Amino acid sequence: MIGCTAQPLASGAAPAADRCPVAFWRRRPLTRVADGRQRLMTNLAKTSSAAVSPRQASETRARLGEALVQRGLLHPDELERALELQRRTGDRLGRILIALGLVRRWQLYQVLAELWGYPFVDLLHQPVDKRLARRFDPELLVAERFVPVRWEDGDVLVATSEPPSPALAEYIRGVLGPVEIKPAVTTDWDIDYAIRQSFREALLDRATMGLYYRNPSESARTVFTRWQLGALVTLGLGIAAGLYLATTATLIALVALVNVGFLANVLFRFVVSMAGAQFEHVQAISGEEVAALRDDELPTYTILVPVYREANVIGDLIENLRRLDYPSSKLEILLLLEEDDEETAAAARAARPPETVTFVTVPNGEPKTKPKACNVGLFFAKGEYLTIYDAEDRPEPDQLKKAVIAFRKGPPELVCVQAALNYYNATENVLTRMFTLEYSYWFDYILPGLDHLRLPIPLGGTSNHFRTELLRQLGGWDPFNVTEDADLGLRAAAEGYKVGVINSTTYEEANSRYGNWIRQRSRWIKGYMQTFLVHTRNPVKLVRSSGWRNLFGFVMLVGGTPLTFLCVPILWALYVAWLLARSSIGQALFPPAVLYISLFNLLIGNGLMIYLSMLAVFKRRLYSLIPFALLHPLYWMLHSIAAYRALWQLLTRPFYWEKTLHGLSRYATSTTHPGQPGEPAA
Amino acid sequence: MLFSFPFVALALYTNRVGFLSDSHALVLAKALLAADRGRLEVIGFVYPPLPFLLATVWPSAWTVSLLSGITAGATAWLLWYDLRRTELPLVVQTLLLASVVLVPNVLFLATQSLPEMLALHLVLVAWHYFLNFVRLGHTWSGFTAGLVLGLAFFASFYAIVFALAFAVSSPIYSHLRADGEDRSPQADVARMMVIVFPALWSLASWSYLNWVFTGDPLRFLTDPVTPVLIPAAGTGSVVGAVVWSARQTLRELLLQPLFFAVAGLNVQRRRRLIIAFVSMPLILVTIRAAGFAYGELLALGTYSLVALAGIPRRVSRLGSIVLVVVALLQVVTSSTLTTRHPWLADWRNAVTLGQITVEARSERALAARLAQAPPHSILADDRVAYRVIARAGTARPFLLPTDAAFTSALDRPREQVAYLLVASRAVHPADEVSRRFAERPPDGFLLDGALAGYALFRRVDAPALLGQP
Repeated sequence: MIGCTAQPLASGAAPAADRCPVAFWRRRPLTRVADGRQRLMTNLAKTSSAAVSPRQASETRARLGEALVQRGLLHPDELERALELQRRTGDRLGRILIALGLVRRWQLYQVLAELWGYPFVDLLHQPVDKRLARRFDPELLVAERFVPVRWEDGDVLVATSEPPSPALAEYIRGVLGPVEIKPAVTTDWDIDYAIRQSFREALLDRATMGLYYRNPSESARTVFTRWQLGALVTLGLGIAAGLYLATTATLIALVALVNVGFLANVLFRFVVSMAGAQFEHVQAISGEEVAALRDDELPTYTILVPVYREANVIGDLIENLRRLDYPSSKLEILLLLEEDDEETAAAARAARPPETVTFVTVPNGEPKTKPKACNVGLFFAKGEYLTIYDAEDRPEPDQLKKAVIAFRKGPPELVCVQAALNYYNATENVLTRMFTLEYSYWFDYILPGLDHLRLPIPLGGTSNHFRTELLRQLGGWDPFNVTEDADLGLRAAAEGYKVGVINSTTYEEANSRYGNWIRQRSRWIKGYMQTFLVHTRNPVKLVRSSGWRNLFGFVMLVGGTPLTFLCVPILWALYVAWLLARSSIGQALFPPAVLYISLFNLLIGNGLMIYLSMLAVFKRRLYSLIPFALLHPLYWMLHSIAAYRALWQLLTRPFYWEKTLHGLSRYATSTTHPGQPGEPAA
Repeated sequence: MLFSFPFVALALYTNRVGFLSDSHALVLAKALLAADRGRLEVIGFVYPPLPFLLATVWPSAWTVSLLSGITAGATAWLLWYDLRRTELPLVVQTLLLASVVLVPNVLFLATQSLPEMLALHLVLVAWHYFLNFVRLGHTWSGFTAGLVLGLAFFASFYAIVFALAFAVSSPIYSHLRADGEDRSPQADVARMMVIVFPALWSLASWSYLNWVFTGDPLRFLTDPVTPVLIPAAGTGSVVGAVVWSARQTLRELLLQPLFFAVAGLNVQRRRRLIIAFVSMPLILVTIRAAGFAYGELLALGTYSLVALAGIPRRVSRLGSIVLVVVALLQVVTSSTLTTRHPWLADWRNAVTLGQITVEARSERALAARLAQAPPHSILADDRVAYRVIARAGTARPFLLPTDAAFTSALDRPREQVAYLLVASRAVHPADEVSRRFAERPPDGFLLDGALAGYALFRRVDAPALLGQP
């Protein structure tokens, strides 16, 4: 049993002989750590940064590289290539070798074990003692890359993927008492695997209930609070009483209210779009800035890819992520697989992804939602920044770099930047065309407009880039909210954080089938309803934290969207009835002021919305889509169908995640390069 | 504001003198009517609606004058902005601006024709954005140009024509660009749609409103008072209409030497802009030949604006001198207009001598008397009586075609109204009140008096308004 003060591999430093006495750990005083995690982190940071010299780093690189070459695991030319890359990126040699696929992960750690003088332990075949492991904080285990494996004759075997340090030993003793520690080396994957196995329930609970425990009022777990339910019931009863006692006056009031709401929404969207469109030629982040970014300045970036029953797109996913212009050794791609989704897991294994891709199994349990999977991913994320991509996403290659620049240019409270989303199968059918029109308008005009007007931004489903630490402070995603992204953006704004946009696009697959589209849209609208209910639970607090302007933006976007779609069919029905019958009843419901607003909405409002979406696709140079903007009124009817379905589900199955099927498009193979809408694959 | 000051001052002065142009009278009468009845549906009978809606905020002759002056000032500022971007000496810039905006015809437009001034202003704004759109490819500029043209339709029907002209010319401009702009037919069509869509949507919307409120979607084109479509004078065939329109356009062009001079400079300096100079007269010939009314003053104003907005940034010394000379010449030619049109001469007299015509004074006196009548007691048709309503400063005493009781009052005037106001000279075919009663009042009515081309009949038991009881 030996111990040494080896420096973490992260810094590339090697344990010098004189600083690595045998049984060092044993000689350390067995003091209890008062605030174990904090002190451990601090100590590790100190030992990492203070004791590393360039010479030592060079020695380690040389030792590791030479050792791999000597064992025939690496060709000298490959080592040279890796060292060259290391000089450019400043990253660990081991990570580079793994990322380049030159060495298998387990081989590398076996060699490291030899170099460090400890045994190698395979945690897949030597399961950890869960009771023992659970005495530790799993977050700390993840952060410090170690896990206690088992008791061995009163000593404790600790597996680590970092060189053991006195601080770590001190911390372990702080938790377990005066014990001897037997270090062993394992891969970082094994560590994560062991943690997932040992803390399955805790992970599930944290991913599911973490936000609720943090602040129940921020979680959509409670659909309606008492007062909200009371208010809704009162409102319903009030309307019913009004209809009974003063039918016409009540109907006029309702029609007026809806029309004023429509008007406000139209004007709001117009103003926001104008603000967004005005800066279209101002690039938030220029190509020159991206080009000037050096690889060694780049931090580790975590990419979360939640997948569920998407075996058919795994191959494409790997290919799409491979196109990212970011040092692969600094990428941590976590493929979040549901425990019960063997098919996708098998497809993922068969796709033989690079070693930068880590499979993370999400414990099975309700609600089975994407945000829950993302929370599990967030738990294991080690990147300074983090983003989410869907399995079929095709981000523009420089997106991560643009996000890094945006964070560096932005204020410290900038928690997230949202990239634009668009579709590669825009021209597949009428539905995909309409969807592209809508997305172009939303991501190219509305979100930049909200950004310029400093209004809260409801995030899009993917391609939102976070500062990982701030995201954790925010409590991650709400697994009970089916538009967790929108909710998170608004929660961030409410807590004083900033959300921005970047001028980069991720191309996705537009829904090309109506049923699938309705399911997806009903989820989105239900999520907006949930988000609206969550954020209006404490109206006074909301006004205080957000201000009236932000509140107005929030109500228009998040509350107004579902309400608009719910009301559209009623207004159209009234209009058609009036057109056909020209009855006086219709006229009675529209006294002058209401009539003018209604006409404004009908003529100017519809015209503006159609024109804005035309402009958005024009900006994207998707010229063939422009005439389809005229079909928007029909497309909005589809929204209304989805809205009623969403309302029904809110009442009956609030947390049910309507799964959107991907990989249905005939454009789905990743032969199309981002930046252009796809053409059918040959 | 600085640029608006002279126009506003002049507009308010002429208003104080008592001059009221036909254009402002019409806008004001409708605004008064809408304000009194509390219903905007009356816009179904008036086109263009934008000036009317603006005037409805505070319906008075002062408001219309003020709005007109402000619009003219904003237009002058835009032209000044264009001139300042040239390298011409400041004196020349000032002289050029003055030669265009301070001549009688433009001053009349600026102070007495809110709809046309508004239309010119909006088209000029759209033109600037349009140029950015086709030169730089800024979507936002195209978007704004389209929206402004869409709005301009509510100030003038010819916004449609300009929108179409801009749209058709956009591929030409785009093809002249040196950068990698997409020149595919699809891109060209898309550019055209971006420019023209809002104006066409406005047209469709307005037609819809006309249909809803009058039953005729194209009523505004043939409105008896402000017709957009009129038969071209002296023509019996297409060729004849074209010849007539060409002659009319040529006559106007001869009054615009500055237009020719700037076109000449563009031939030398910026050939792409020559499209605007060539197409402008052609557009006017076409629309007039098609039967659309494009007023002479509006045409002259349009040419002047195009000329000033189109001066190249760099002009040689000789070019500057030529511009100054033709600008002065334009002042002289423009001044001849006041002798050609009697209403322009009336306005000139009001401005220079502070006097209005006898007829205008009578009209004012008539209006003042009628304003004393009880609500809805005077049966009249505002398609003819709009000047009196505007002068009266209220539509309350009048029962007009927009009122539900109008038709029954026509059939049974004695039961519904106390007075009938009819045109005593020429009877307009659309003026149902005059058509029925100008020759002979209905039973129970007698002539109360005649003033300013109107005859007022009163019910025998009603108090006299014009004569002695």
